[in-house]
Amino acid sequence: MAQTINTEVTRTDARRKVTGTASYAADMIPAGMLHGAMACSAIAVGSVTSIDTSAAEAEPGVVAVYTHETLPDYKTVKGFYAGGPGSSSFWPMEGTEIRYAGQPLAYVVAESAAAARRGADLVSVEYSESGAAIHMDPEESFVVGAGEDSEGMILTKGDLQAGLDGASQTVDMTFTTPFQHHNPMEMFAATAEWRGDRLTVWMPSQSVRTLRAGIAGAYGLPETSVRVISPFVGGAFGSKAGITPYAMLTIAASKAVGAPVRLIVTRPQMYTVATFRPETQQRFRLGADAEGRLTAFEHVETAQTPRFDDVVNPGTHITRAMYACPNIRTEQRLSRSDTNTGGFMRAPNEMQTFFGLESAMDALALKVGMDPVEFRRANDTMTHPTADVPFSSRSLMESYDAVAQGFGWSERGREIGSMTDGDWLVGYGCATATYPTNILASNARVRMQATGSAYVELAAHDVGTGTYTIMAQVAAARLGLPVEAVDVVMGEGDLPVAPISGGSTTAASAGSAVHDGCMKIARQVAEVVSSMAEGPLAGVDPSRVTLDDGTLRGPDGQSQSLAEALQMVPEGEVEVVGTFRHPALTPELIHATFAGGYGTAGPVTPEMAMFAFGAEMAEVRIHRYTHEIRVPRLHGAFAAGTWLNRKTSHSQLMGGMVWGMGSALHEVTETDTPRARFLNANIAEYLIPVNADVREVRVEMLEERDDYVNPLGVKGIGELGIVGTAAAIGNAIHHATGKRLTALPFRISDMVSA
Amino acid sequence: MSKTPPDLRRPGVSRRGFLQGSSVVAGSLGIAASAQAQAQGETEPDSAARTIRLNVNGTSRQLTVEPRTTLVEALRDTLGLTGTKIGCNQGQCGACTILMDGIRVNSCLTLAVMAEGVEIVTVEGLADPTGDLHPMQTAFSENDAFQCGYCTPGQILSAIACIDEGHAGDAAEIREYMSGNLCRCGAYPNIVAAIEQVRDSQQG
Repeated sequence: MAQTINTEVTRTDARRKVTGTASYAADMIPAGMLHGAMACSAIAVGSVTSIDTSAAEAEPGVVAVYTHETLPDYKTVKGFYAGGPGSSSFWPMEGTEIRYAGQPLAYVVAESAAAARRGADLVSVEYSESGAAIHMDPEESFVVGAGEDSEGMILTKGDLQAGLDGASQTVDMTFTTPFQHHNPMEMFAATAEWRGDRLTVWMPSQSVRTLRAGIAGAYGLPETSVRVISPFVGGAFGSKAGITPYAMLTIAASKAVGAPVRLIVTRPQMYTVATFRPETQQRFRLGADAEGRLTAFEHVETAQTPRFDDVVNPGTHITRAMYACPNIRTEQRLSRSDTNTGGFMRAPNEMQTFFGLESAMDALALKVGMDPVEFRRANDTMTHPTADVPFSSRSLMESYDAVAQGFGWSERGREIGSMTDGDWLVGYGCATATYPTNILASNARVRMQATGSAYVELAAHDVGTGTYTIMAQVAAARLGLPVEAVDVVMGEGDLPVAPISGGSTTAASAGSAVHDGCMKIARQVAEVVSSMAEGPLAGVDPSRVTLDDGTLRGPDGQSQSLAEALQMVPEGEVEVVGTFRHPALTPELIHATFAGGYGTAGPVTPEMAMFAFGAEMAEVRIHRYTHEIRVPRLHGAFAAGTWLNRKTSHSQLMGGMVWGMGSALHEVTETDTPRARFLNANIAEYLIPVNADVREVRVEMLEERDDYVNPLGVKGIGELGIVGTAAAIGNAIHHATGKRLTALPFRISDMVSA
Repeated sequence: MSKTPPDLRRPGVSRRGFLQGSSVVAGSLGIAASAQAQAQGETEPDSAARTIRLNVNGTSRQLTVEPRTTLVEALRDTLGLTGTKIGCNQGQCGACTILMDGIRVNSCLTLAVMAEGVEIVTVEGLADPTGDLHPMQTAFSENDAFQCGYCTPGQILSAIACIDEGHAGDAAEIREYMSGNLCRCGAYPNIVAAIEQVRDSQQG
């Protein structure tokens, strides 16, 4: 039996993806389908004084034009940050109020996509405009849930001032990170089809159960009347989690017009009809003694939030888990401005905070006179610094040592600006990566047949993460089948509950449910065959039969393959529901997940702190005269428990590092400040790394065992790779030039100015 | 797939224009088509739908489209060939890349009525009728040259053309000539490896 876990397995959906037969939401074309298009607000704040839809209605092919006055039976849901399934607490087209630029104001239905777009262009809106500000003012900020320390938004341990006073070296540094947009390659889309009071929605989703529960709730329908179908998702990165206004508008428009309607959101509209990464400010005050041990650690994060939602992505909860320090203070603040609601974008708590933390650590290492890697080693800890529980596993320094060896860190020049190659200034930088191991309840239906096939069904998603493949691998390994013999069905709301594909939870939580299903199959089969008169396991106490990757083993060395034993079962197959309920999951959390929400436990439980770790190193070259910044090498070593699939894991970590490079050098949603709107709302002027930007990216995956996190020993890795990359590149720039850059992204202009 | 460079000598289109990248190509084709239309004396714009024939993956297909219908929407919504993806609908991302007479083109910047008389190849036309994958499809699978798979049909067609054009000499050249196809998952190093694998097998 070939090894099926911790090895390289080609994606089971690879053939579908290279032949164009993987079906994404907008590929579904129900009979009689019409096309939707939105007209969005040209102003940021104010109100609609009139909308003239006559020209749009006269456009050939246009079937209907809906506004806040004319769209019947339009429903909304509560926003995520208010505890609901929605992407926002403010819903457009409920009235005349305009609260952000790009807010949908009219919805056109037409016989073709071209006619719908033209119709949307012809909608004429008169506005009453008020003043607006798109950027936050960090001076006008507030603490989330002030006074409620239970939320941990302000946390103090020890005496910060004493730690700063007693330090031999300190840094006080402030960093800023910009608005960023996810920009998945697949544009947002929703197709709705009503048949009586039964509704089908095709929509790319990271959480089909959330969508189904939320939509059914909004329309007062039983969940069984709503189908949500999302078999393939063309990238999500956090942008396809909640129920968005464009989805609910499409559902309402389809109902009103009496035909299926498909909306493909335009690329520019994608910037304002879903979420984004809010801009932030990160202040770090750190102190260290002469030996390089931290004596003081303060992190205050201030993040942008809209007027009508408190978008809390608590990065300080992650930074304070990193390094041993007796005196720690963290504070989580928000500052309001006039935008749509932000949300989670790949490593929503970590990307921007670790740019700050790891840049500040680099600066402090330099002041103390220590090698940056050795400075991390001096402050490494196997105990969570503020929660005082051990890490279930933590291979941070193993990661540093592994990446340092392959990268050639020992050849790094000690002095700033000491490495050159012709006209290129060369710098090496490093930074820590981490990501919390979040835990969610999950179920999975597993069926095995005596013919040697197995079926795994669960409401999980493959957003490019390789989920179809790893779920098949887990079942194949446990049941003793080839991976190809396991058929995995996901991405539908009526399948067994599985977590949101967010927070890097699916492999660990849903995978553990599949594992449990396989163990239950073995138990059921053992009970049948042990009660039989004949057979290798006849008469054996079934409770003492174990499953050893496809083989049932009795206590005295008896054994029978599961497939063989299944042939003795009258039905010729066994079907079970596997479950994953980590001890840290309270009944309330389990209930939340099963109600369509996000009942997340961890990363800190009463017994353990659960995090994946890694270390990244970057080589940067800056041209002495043109000042262009190049990253010829990006290396990372990571430890995240069990690797299920070394091929898809490698791709996730590499892709994360490419994202990190994007944050460092490319990505920023520019703003038109006077008009309070996002400016470069397309995928050419919002720069993301292209093929020519990415040179050598090397990923090393270390072995690590963690029996606490879940039965598979898996920690999520979808977001780990991005964390630390921007700081590693920034630290390398400092090493090459002596310039300490504190604002993302880094640009040629930063290299030219003093 | 033919390794022979496609015939680039068509009215109004320079070889250099074609080689500059797919969005430039689509623009050039637009100029060519309108120049041709004017030469035939059609001066009044006519917005009425018309029936055209497209040669897609070796099959002639008849369809009725408006003049403003883009090729990608005709392929997807009218002919049901949804393997070609729309990633931006404004010629920025390359997800809708197809081949027209062997040349890579952004089908979102091409009107369907401009595509008559050329051989169109979409991702559905790459595997042979028995189901054997094109070597580039196999190489993309083996090298995990994608994650979400949404940009993949466009990447594969662009990759085939990249080799046919003679722009796969080394990794740096591949990176440069594949930079019109964005991949948000960041699979670029694996895409380059897949193209090198096919290039080497064709040379061998």
